[in-house]
Amino acid sequence: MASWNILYIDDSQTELSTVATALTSDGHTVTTRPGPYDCEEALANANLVIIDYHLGGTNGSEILALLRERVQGWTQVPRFFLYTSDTEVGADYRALGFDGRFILKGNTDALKRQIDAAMRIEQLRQMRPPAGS
Amino acid sequence: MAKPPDGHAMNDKQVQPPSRGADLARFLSIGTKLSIGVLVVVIAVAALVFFSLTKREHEALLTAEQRAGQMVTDLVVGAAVAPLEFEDAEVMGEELERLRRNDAVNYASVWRQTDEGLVQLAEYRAERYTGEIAPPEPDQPTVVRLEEEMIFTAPVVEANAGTPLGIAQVRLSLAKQNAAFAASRKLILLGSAGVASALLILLIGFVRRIVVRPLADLHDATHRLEQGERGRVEVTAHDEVGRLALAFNRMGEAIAERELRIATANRQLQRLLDNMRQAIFSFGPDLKIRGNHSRVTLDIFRRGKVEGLDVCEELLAGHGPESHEAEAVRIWFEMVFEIGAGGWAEIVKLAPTSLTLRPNQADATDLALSFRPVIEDGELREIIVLATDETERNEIERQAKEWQTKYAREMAAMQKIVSGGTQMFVQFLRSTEDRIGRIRHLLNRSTSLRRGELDELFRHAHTVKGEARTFDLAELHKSATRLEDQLGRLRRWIDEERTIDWEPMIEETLALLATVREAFEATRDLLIQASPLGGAILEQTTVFQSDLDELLVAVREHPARSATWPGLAEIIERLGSRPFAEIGMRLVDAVPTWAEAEGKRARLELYGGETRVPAGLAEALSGTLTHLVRNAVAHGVELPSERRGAGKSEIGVIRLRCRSLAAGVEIIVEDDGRGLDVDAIVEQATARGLASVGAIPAKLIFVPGLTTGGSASGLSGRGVGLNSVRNDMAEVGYTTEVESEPRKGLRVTISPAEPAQKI
Repeated sequence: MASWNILYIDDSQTELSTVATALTSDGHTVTTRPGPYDCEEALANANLVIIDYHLGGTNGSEILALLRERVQGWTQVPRFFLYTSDTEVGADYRALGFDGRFILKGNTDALKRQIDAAMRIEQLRQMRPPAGS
Repeated sequence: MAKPPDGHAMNDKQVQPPSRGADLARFLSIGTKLSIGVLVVVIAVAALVFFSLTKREHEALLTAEQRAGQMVTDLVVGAAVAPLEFEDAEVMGEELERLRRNDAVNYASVWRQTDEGLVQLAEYRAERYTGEIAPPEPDQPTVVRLEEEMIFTAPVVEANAGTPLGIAQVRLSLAKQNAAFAASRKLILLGSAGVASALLILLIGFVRRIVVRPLADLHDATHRLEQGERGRVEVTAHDEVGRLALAFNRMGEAIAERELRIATANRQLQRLLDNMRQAIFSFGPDLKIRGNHSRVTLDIFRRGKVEGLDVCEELLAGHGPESHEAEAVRIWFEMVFEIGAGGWAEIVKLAPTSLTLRPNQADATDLALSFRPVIEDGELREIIVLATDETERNEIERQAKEWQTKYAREMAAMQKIVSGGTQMFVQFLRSTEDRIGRIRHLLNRSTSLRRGELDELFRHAHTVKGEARTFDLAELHKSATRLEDQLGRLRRWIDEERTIDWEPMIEETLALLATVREAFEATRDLLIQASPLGGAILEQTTVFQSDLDELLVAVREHPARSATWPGLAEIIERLGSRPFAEIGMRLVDAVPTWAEAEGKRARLELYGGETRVPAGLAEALSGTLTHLVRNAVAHGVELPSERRGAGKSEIGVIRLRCRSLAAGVEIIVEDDGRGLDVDAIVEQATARGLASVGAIPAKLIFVPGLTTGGSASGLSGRGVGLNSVRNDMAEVGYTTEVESEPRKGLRVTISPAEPAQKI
């Protein structure tokens, strides 16, 4: 089964640990960080970056802006997904600049299913024949 | 070129537009065509007969008249000899006068041949006949037929010598013959028409009987067959039409038999499908569900009929547009036929394997899905779907879970955590207790709350809520959610600039916090109950097995020397060491709040979190780091406007770094703020007599008594309490150095002292 390199940023050590455990068991390679630093290598290899919204001193949007600046000009840029239980913020994920969002924060089974669906979408898009063929 | 349905290209001949006549002919029945054909032929034959008969009749009449005329002419010639010899016109006239008795004679005349030509001797003219009559020409034929008369001309010759004496001419009227001919023609016409009509009727009747009616019967039978009825034609003849009818009847029987076999096969297939417990149906490139399906399919989709429905819409009923699963399914259905048979092996791996149908939000059906291709001639024609309803099984599982009591469920969760490794959970309990304490502290000390304080409170509640859900701690999650909602409400009110009566609000929030505390304590007690270690589980810490093994070996092998053995001290030191993250992480949350209290924005970054900080240093480091970081916020990081003016980001960054060294660890606390105001430090220190001229500013800031208390901006950088920091670090064998770059930032480095430097 296909797997991804995932970078997960959250200020909760508990969340970092449980999510890392759950996604690693599904075959993904997971790097966790409490903030958008000390993660250059993980960012360069990542297919998916998952960002919590409510973090100490900052929020997911600011972290996203920082990371997007870092990946500017790269040939392969990861997808940036918001992960929050704040429904109001979650509904605005596109306006906040995220490529997508995962809901039901805290439910690792739901997260695994959503990541699986996101991967399938990505693979299907790559399989699609070019227009006009 | 146009392309007909069978796919073969048309040639030029076939694309010629039909003529109007041919176009009209296509819409006439064969009976009409035959009738027209017969009519044309009969009319042609009748016309031919008519003209033939009339011609013969006319000829006969004229021939008879010609014979009569010839006789009269001969008589006139005979009678003209003597008058011509004797040039006796009177006698000739009397002879010609006798022709009056023959009313057919229009004119008779005799001319005498002279040297000057022909001279008329005598003539007879009927009263009706007028006009000049010229002498005949020398080469005039003996008989001339005109429309109204016949002209006979004969020479008169001497009886003995044959000498031409003259010419006689008789003109007979054809009036009678013409009238007789007209009457006769009429009769012939009537007769021909009558015969032709009779013939026409007979022929048409015959053709209708032997060709048209049998063909019509055959057409009716074909039409009935087309409608699905049994069509049979009565065979009355053994000609070509009869053989065609026989062939049709045989064809009808063959079709009926084949239909019977197909219907039997369909019934067997349907029985098979209906007895399957799965929904089995198929769809084609148009994504419409096809006719053959199992009965369970109707149950699953809750429809009376599924044929023609869109398979994607049916499977995704009730799924919101933002669902990743729904989007993946839609894209798969859009692409599967586009990819085709060649890519089936790859694309089927991305097919949905399970889905929940939600035609209405109240009822949900869990389906396990499987897809099979139907490939013909290398093309993907159809996809068969096998859908198994797993709702019942899933519901049983859900009910089984719900049947556990809250206590039993949390106990099971605790046991899972205990068996899987409790360190993480203990860490969660510690940090949650800290957060609850911090929330209570902020609420208890305040008569009102600022936005920044509410933000910190909200973050703590939010984190407790999230972590509680992660560990499936329902009560703690619920109570933390209520607390979070309360704090969120208060934040919104502040943003809306509402007037808030803080006292009851804080009371209410403390009450909610109390429920969180209760749920937390219940969770902690549950862990103690679940753990074989009891309360000691809360005291557990991370010890590296390799270190422990080495310690045990050392103690066993050298019991007498264990207290003074250098290696043993190192091991014990390592056992007591702490991860740097454990010391520094608490400051990550605090920094933004401290900054906001100063009207600034700042964040803390932590590097080298896994580095092990020796036990002695770890105890002192917490306070030192707090001190240095607070200083960085208070004195280092500028106001947002000042930072913008300096071309910096509005958010100040404070970094904590830790790395291992041979002699211990090196810790760096640095910020990107304004740095030290060196000139001011030197001036102040010199003015107070705390330093001599030429002293190094980076050292001056450690001079005891150099404080900002009450002073102007001279000490706009550091200076408060750094002496105590240096002393605290020195006590545990570490030195403290400061480097500053004006307007760029400050760096404080804590590193192991050289042996001579240690106190």
